[in-house]
Amino acid sequence: VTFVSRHSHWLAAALGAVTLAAYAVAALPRSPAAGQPDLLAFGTIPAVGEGRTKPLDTVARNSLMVISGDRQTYKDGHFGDDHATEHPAIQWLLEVWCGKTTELFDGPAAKYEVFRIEDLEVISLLDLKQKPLFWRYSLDEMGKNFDKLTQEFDRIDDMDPKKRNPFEQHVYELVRHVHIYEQLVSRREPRMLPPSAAGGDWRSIAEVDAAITRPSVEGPDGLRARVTAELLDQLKEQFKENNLDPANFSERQKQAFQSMVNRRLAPRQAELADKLRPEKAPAAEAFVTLLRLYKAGQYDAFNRAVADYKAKYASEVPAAELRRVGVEAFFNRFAPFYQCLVLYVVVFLLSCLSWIFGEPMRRAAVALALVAFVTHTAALLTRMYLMDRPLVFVTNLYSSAVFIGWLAAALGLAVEFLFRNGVGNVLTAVTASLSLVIAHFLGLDGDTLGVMQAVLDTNFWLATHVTVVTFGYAATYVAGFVGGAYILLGVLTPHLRGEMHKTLASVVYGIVCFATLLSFTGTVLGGIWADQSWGRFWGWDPKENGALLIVIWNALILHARWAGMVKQRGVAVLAVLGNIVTTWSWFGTNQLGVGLHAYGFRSGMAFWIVASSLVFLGVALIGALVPQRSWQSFAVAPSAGPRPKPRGGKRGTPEAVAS
Amino acid sequence: MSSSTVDSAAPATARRPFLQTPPGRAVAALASLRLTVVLFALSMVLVFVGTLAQMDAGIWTVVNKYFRSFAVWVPFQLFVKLGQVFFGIPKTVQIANSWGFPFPGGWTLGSLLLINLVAAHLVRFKVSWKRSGILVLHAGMILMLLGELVTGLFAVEARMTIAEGETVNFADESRAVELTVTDSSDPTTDDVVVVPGSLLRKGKVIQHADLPVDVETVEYLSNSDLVRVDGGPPRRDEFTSMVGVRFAVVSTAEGAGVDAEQREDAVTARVKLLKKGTKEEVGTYLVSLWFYPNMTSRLPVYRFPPQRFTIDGKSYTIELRPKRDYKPYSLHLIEFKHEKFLGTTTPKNFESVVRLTDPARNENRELSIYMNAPMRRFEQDKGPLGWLYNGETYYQSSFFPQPPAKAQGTVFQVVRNPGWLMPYISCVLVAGGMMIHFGINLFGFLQRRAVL
Repeated sequence: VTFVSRHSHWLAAALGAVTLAAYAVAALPRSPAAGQPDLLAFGTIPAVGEGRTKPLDTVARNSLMVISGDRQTYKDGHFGDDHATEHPAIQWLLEVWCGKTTELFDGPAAKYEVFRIEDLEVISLLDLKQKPLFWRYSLDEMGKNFDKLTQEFDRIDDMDPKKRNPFEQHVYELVRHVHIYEQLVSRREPRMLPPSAAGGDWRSIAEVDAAITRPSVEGPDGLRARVTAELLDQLKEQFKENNLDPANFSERQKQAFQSMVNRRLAPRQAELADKLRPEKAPAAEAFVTLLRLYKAGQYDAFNRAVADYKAKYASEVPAAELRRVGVEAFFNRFAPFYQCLVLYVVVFLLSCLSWIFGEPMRRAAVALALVAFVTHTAALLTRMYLMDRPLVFVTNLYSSAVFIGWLAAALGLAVEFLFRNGVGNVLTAVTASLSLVIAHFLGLDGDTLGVMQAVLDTNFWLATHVTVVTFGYAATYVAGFVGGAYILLGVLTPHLRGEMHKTLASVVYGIVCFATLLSFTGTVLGGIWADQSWGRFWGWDPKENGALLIVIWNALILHARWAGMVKQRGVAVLAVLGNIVTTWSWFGTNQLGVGLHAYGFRSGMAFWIVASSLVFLGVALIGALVPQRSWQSFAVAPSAGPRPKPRGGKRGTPEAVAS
Repeated sequence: MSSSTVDSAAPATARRPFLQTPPGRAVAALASLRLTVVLFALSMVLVFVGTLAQMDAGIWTVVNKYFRSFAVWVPFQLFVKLGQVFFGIPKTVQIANSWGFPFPGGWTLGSLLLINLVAAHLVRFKVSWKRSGILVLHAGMILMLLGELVTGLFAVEARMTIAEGETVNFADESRAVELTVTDSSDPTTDDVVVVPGSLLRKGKVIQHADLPVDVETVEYLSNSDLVRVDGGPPRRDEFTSMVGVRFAVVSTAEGAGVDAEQREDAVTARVKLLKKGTKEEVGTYLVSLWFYPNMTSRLPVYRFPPQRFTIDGKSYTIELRPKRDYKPYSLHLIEFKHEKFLGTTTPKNFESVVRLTDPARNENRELSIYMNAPMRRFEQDKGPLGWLYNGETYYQSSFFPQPPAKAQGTVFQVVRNPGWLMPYISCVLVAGGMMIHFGINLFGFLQRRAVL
């Protein structure tokens, strides 16, 4: 008995404690180096966007993530430049706001390669060079052929989205991303100026500028009238040559002329706003000043200006909201779900090692799984706090994936504590990390803490129906994964025998029971919600039907077993097939684009639904079709060694081995 | 833990001689767990195809065809559609509807499940602590299946549409239509003759003393679409709305309509009006729910001029509309509130402020109906338990703009469902039963492990 195995309890506990402590230290706030901009402080300035108050850091991350496909950072060099360094999203947002004017192509951020374009037709439309494996472009690069893009966009804008071909979809997406950028650069988004009096609205700098300059711009003697007169005067000759009469312009010509006026008006209006702001809009002036300081590289002054701005203007915001904003910025930086993912992967590796090196490794895996689980739990609770929805775990597809991962981890840990043989650890690691990966992709749409449609805006039903039904999905998946493990271990390895066989078989069965209870209760609670909110207990809506399929499928497994139609192996096969049913209900039904729950349509998801279903089907077929005597685990009697295979002799069946 | 839950019929059969007799064997077969499993599998197929069918049919068509029917014809085209979403099958692939297969409908499977369940408990009836959970949960299941039956047979859904400032005392039923012939020659009152939609069947002639004409149904479409006509020669069944936009009424199979989100079925009928008691034609009219303003959120672009005919010097209008359910009370919409989250188009709240007037009860008060806060009107005079099965509930369902003024209108979903309480009870029974059953099993399992 070595030292390690004798003290593995304590060593495992120590490993867990050290990991937690390391996280705590890493999460501590750090002050910036002298002479550097305090991006953390800038990032925690509150702003309102998409209906909720959030830190500028979130605005920056979400915008950059949507534009760039999946990143929350950017590089300051060109594609292929090895010396380019990586910067956080918040710095990108600062640079977006540091242009000479607030026009789209002005400013330092126009040169960063952040817009993701993968469609080769769009790339050739814009005459860009191909950047394999990177596929990100700057506005400067797109600039020279930008007209072609807007032309294409005008053509497809009114089209039924379902009728657009892939090229048109990608054009539409790209223009949407440019629009997000334009909203930021023109300072129309987000609304970062708090209401000056309680009950007022948050306003954006663009709004405030428009409001303070309006008296001098509009009206018969205003700036607009003067600019229009100037332009008419300048173009007098041209109009005459082309036989155009400004008094009789068509709608299109009127629009074109108006946009020319606006282009000329903008810089003069901006100049005017700069002049009027100090007196009429001190908050906006303070914000613009700190941007100016950043642009001038006076970082110490910038840091002081940020602190001043927050003390003076953000203090009007209710304290609870400010606390949330601070917590959210921390949450962004710490990225707890990413940390959990890393930990779950380590748990998986340790569990694999535990089958070679034994108990100490298993204990270490349990310790880390607990750390991951605690972090995961804390992250879920933090999201609840940020949304101010106690006990509401699921508000969109992203959060359902995160929650399913958490439940799967909990079930896996419970199995581990019951059986103590490493099965639960693997279960935790595989299911939790898979669902966190899925969550990552679901989160690429933007704000994962977004506000909810009116009909969904009820904490009670979100906390009961949605939580329980998601729990049902999670349990059904976990049963399916254990079933898959049963089949693969049995067919490919000699390990599925004795205690291990018993463990896996009872875990599948037990979790199917659990899944039946939860999916049934969750589905019926949904029915009751529907009855409460639109008077129809059961509407045969695709999502409802999907949930019903899960319930029936679980009931079918149980009844088939009670009828003696299937035994352990059959239950495992059916449980794996249950994953297809659950995938259909969770994601598939949303693809049909009909029904009350049609909130989560995503292009490209169909592929993953089909691919994962084929994998599940393949595993189930292996389990169902490979004759039991060809399973590695049952090819020989348990007393004999795994190799060489004796010809003839007693061949075990799972039931024989189990008994 | 497996053996403890085996529900096998074998031991029970041995104990009861009745089950050895031929009728007894039939009962035993009906009670078999294998039948349960088969029925579950068939139900899953039905629910799945019933989901796919919603890709191109209205929800009520699907519910009536698949779930509230004894048998259904499942066209292969459904799977082609599925393939178009998931496997990239070209959108042009089309298989005729006659290619398909018959399948048992919801009534059939539901009643078989019910019979199977009841038979199983008759054959294997045994009260013990161990089986208590199963008994409770199956009792709940029976109640749930019966509840769906009651809902399917007796629930009525309707909509009440009110614009701001309007007072309305009727609701438009969702699944029944009626044909009206209106005589407006008296300026003070309209004389309306209502023909129930159930009489409008192809080839049938309707005669009635109150009707100024006989009505022959030439064509009947249970669902139709309204498509915009952009230029070109006039189409069959073309109508020009009051703002001058051209539309054609087509059967749903012909193409997607103007409003893809429109999921209520739009009945359309072609009726030939005949001089009473003769075969002499007065005119042929296409009447459609598409011409009923509440159907199209009262948008001006879908307002069509009334269809008139003249007979014996008198002018009448003919219209198809949802069956009207008149109430003893009326609702007056004072204001509709539509709040959005700041800087977004995401709705935060829909709320209708209404005044309820019920002369018979001397009731006159203001109230708000909003999301997740419906108005329930139970009729207390139907006996002490009347509230259990009687009464209606008004839910905030949708709204519409009311141009040219900025005023808006509201749409309430009005539901009368005598079985509304059954799912609540059955849910408690089933969930409770499962908890008891699985709890007993889990406890036994843990105890056995503790012994090991």
